[in-house]
Amino acid sequence: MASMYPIQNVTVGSTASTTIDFTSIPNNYTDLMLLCSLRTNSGGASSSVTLRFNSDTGTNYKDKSLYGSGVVVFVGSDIYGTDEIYSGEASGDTSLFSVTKVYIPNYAGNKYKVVQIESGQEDNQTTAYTFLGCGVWKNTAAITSISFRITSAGAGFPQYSTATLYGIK
Amino acid sequence: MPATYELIQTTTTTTSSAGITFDNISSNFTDLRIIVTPISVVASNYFYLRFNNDAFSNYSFNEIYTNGSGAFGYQSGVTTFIGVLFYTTFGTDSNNGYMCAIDIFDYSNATSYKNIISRASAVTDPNYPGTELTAGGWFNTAAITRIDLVSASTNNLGSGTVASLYGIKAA
Repeated sequence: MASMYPIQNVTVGSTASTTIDFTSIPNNYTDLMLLCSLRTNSGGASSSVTLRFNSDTGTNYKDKSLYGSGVVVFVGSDIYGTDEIYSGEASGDTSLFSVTKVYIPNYAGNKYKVVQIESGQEDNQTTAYTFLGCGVWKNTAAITSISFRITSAGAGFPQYSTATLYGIK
Repeated sequence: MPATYELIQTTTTTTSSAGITFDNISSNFTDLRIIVTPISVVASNYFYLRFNNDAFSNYSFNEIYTNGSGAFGYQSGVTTFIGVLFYTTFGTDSNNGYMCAIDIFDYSNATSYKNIISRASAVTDPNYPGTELTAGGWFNTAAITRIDLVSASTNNLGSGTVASLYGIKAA
């Protein structure tokens, strides 16, 4: 029996969006996986992307990250604070998208929610990142909504940025 | 359309135990994936990943990881297991802030050694170790029919650990 199902897809239209949101996520799966293809219109090489659950903007998150530009390796904790989870970079190239995978086990259970993230971009520019991250949402509620946010001031996810949410049984 | 990602077995521990075993794994798939959210009876536990009940020196693994303050690497040399959740470790936090995803490629071929990659994370509060990426090998050409996730701290895998084994089929 198949056990990986597409739940929702969001593809940004002609107007850039500062967030990509999934709402009304059902609780009848074991785990969730998100596969994303993201760009930024910031004008820079990339923009950082963060993640929140259930519209919670409180200081209820923690994260760790290990990422490299091909030249330098960086590490960090709570780089964007404890009110969201750092989730990699969106490409600033005009024709290439970064790729991001997010895995959330036991998303409907009564424990804190752990997230694992892998992200990468290769834009044939001097700055591009490969990213390994993890985070926790310190809340025991079932996840019913997920929001990606672009952190660069005034920037958004431009047209054709896309994310698909899968449920795994 | 044929299933391409299929749950084979899932286990939730209800008592403290030595580990979790997936046995009698069929050869019907191309690759295998394990998702485990463990809890430990003791602090700083990790898993020995073993195949086909082989506890001899037929494994090695290497990894990169961070604790949020530095980036580190490790190479095991030849050893008796593949370490997963090895440097990040998992502990006693009842909120289960630990997870590991293990991908085992071409597990049923009978002509080459077996390779895995593992992503593990431990993000709890206040214990907050980090995240790691591990590559491991089992130097045996047999098809994998049994997988053991053995608690490195003997008999100290905690109640409430959930582990699921998935099979992935090629088109």
